[in-house]
Amino acid sequence: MRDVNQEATDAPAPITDRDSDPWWEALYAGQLKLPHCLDCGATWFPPTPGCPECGGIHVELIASTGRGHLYSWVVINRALGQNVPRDTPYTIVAVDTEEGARMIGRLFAPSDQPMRAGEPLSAVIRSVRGQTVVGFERAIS
Amino acid sequence: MTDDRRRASFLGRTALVGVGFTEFSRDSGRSVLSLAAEACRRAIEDAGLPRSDIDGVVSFSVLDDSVASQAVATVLGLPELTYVLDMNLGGQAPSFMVMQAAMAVDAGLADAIVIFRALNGRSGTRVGSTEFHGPAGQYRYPIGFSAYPQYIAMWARRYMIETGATYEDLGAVAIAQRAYAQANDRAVIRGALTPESYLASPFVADPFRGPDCTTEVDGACALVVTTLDRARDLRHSPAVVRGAAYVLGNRSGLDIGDALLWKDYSRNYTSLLAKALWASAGLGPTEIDFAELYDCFSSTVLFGLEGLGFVGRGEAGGFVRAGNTALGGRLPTNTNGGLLCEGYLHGMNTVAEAVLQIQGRSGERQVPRANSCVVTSGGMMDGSALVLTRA
Repeated sequence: MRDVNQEATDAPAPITDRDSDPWWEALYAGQLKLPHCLDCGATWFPPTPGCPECGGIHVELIASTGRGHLYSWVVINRALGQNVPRDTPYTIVAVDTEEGARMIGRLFAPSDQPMRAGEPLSAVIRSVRGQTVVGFERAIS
Repeated sequence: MTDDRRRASFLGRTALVGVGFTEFSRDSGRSVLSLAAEACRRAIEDAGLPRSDIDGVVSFSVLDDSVASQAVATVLGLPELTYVLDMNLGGQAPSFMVMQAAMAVDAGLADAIVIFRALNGRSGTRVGSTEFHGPAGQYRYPIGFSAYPQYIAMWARRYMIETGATYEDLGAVAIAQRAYAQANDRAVIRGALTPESYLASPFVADPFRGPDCTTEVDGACALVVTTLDRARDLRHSPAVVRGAAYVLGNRSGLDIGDALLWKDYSRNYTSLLAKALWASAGLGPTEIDFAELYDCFSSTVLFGLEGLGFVGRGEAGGFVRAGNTALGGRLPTNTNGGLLCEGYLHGMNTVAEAVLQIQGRSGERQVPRANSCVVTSGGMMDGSALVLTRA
């Protein structure tokens, strides 16, 4: 496995807001959380001040197992934009978590095995060049 | 969207009557205001209307990349406006902008409105790779998920997973449109593209290679909208606004680059607005002669063909590979080479090409039978569409 801290990235810091601050604070404390609706039971991502399923306002953050399945992915072959990682190629995965949220993240443990939709992945929280981010590792390595 | 929606009153009573372009380039060396004014001036002249008859201006911009309609009205010396609208939207806007102008002239708020899109999209702010300051940006940019080709590639990959579509299906779109571009002097990408040269092109964001992606340009494009009654007396035959729809789907996200809450990456807004669009026009896909489908990337053409019901699920790639979207095919599509080749005016030029075709003014690439067409604007969670016909 590559040491992500040695990857040449200069990723920007997240511009957080009042709706997302508790989620980031949990992440900085090493906990992956997801917004959850106390009215209808939906769980989603990213944090919002109302439930996208029922419009309910009783939203709390719950712990996520971090386990999920691969929904889609893209291999970034060419860095696009200013202040973006230059360590191409890298892979961004879209993952549906067990709790029902879709998340995106860097694939932290690439392997030569072909990617397969539905394959299991696990979330990991890493510090990359000083930025704490969510990524995913493949169960298949 | 309810099925028993009342038919919008402007449909069948309004028309597009004039088209204006500037040159498309990689570095205009001019102000956006100068570009906007030139395109609007040309569109008004093309319509055959005196400048003094224009009493409305409508435009859109993203990331503050354009100029206010007020400024354009001033530069054009328009005497007095009764309708002005500047919208903060991306590629979902052009057909929607036609709807706004058509509503306004039909409602009597204005008589003739010039609508435009102008930007130094290549030498200035490049929308494909500039950060949007929306609330969801904090989840994208720190991980290097930073640009539109990457976002739409994520959808294209899911579409390939679900339908079995291949790289060759994406390539077929790019190849078909490149053939049209060779007959379009305005197109900035005109070199020959073959299946071999397509597959030899490096990936930008796998599954997208360079030819799957639009090319950002500097330039402007404008159209004139007026009532059908007024349009009948003008220089060119009117392109009648026969059908129209806009939709913003459920869970459409927090900003225009955010698809985290969107459930199905293999379908976009075209699937959601098709029924309302066809009902509004009183026409169906089999009655449409050609299509101008928003193509920031090749995959959105496949999404549009399926979403609007021209082909069944997973059939779009085969439809394109069989030549159906070429000139002389069942449904000539993106007859200017599309945004892939003509350049990225955020789909304003997609509408303009539809008008030129309906008016029979597309020269070498003119579709032989061009009585009716569909136009779409947008690639992801929301978008707009028109059905245009000859009078």
